[in-house]
Amino acid sequence: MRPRSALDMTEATIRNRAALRAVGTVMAFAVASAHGAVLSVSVLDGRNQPVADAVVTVTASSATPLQAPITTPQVMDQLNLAFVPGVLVVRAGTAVVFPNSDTVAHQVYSFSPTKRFELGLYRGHPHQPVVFDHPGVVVLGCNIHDNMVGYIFVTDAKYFGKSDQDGMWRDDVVPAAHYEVAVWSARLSGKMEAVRTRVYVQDTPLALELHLPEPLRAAVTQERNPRVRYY
Amino acid sequence: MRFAAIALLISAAATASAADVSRVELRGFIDLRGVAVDSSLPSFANGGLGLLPFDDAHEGVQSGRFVLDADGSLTETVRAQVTTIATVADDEQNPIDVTEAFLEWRPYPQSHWRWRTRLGAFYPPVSLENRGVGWQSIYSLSASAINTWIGEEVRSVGLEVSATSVGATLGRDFDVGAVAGVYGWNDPVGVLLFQRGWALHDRATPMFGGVRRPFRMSDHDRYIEYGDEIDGRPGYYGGVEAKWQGRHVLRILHYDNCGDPAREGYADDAWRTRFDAIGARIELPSDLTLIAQAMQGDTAVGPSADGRGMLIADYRAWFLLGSYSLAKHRMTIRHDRMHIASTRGAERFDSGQRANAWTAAYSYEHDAHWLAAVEWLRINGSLRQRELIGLPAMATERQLQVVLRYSF
Repeated sequence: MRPRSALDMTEATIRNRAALRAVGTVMAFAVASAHGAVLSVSVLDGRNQPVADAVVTVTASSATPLQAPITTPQVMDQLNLAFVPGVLVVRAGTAVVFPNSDTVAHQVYSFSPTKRFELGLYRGHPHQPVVFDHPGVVVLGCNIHDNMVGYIFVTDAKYFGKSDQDGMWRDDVVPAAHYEVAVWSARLSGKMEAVRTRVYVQDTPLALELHLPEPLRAAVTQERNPRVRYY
Repeated sequence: MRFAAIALLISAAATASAADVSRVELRGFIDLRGVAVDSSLPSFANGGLGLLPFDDAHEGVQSGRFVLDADGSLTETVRAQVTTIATVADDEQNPIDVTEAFLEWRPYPQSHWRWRTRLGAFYPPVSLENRGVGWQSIYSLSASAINTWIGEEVRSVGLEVSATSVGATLGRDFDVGAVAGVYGWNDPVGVLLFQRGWALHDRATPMFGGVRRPFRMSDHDRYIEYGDEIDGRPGYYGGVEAKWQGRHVLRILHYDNCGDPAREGYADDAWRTRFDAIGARIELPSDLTLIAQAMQGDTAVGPSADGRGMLIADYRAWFLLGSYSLAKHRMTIRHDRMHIASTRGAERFDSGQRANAWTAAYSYEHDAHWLAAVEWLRINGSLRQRELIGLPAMATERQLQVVLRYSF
């Protein structure tokens, strides 16, 4: 049976039946944000099992000004011969620093069209942060340790995050509007295209269930013992 | 000897880079061993036809060994790796020697293809067991018969190029790759297998030393040394590998040293040795590892009208290994089958082996430095060469090793 794809879902509209939770909110805020709701997304595989570390992005359908990049650098560490976290999601324009917490040297690179870069052999002190300007997926590798694979998902969405161990992601402050919700996972096969759906958020909590198409690949993070050769 | 010159060059290069300490990674261990042997045969390591590395005259507390891997970067994409071993056993020619020394060039990948080139002395990619420091098995103390032989005779000096298509960048769960190598300076490969048969142990033959010769004409050729290029003909190997989910490996290799069996050398002649090897390793999520490897080939020596050799023997072996790892504990059991049969010239020298081996090993990794291990090994079967010196061909040999290892 083909799993129910999010693409099959039409625009989901939920009527407001709950009382406004933000009664005391200062009305000087933008009108659009006076109404809104909790948006939660449950990411599942074809067998209804939760998918952790999936990237959820929520983009307003109407044109919105570019979001300011996060000014503090994000961190993609290397520990026990694995990228930590295995998947990092950042807003376009964000700088990412790549420390090395292992005792062995690493040599991080990406040849993904989204961002090509190489960080020469290093241990401990990281190179200068790498700025990820363009939305897309960046696949990371280490030229010394063949098994190391990591992903940086660069987005210009206003709301984004990763699903937890229960496959859940939620945002408390999504203002009422039309949105496109996209879910991407490093475990997607083939072209690894995100699953998308459109929703209309009003004043009621909105819980979405999105199914990733099978077959899903194995989870990415695999720690290794540096004393064991990878062959 | 050019062989030695290359090794020295690589060692020197690695030492030069060792000056910049931050760029060299050192890993090694030192062993203290207790050994008990139940066998009437002197060990091959002492010139006998026993297939264990120890014998009645060499048991009790053994000083074991010291192994050091030095791995350093020479340039951004070129690394040097040297494995040094020190053994205090009385049969070793050199107390300190080198088992592998090579340069490795890994250009930054520009696509999903990952290229790797090795130049120097190294083992062809056959073993799925020998993943530890110093090319030691991580599953047991003794390697299987197949991988013991790779360590004894099959290291070569040459150039190897491999290309792997990395699936993670293509949304695929598997990597596929191919490897090809050309090499020389190992023309006697096969002589030990032909004369002594398959054995099981952890002693890789060092580059500047040799292994004791089972059958010798004089006191001048006590050791088989492998660094010679006798016929001037390079050998080659080629293989493919697939890796699924970064855990499960399938590997196939064809090896042919292209030796000219008619060419005589100073101590050893050129042998023509070929084999096909296949192996698979499965790492299940429950920390259970299964390995199967098989090898089949032939080896030939001596002039003949058809050029194939005066003495020819076919050989084959396989093993199955299961290893279960739970926290600090690892338990391994392995069954080996070995077979050799002369197919030409048996009236001059009859090489014949039909044997099996059981290995049971347990190790306890106390912390990052201390490991204790115990291994029981039993080899049972016939070796026809024993009859040449008046011994029964059949023998059952048993060995118990207890090891205390400090790693750094």
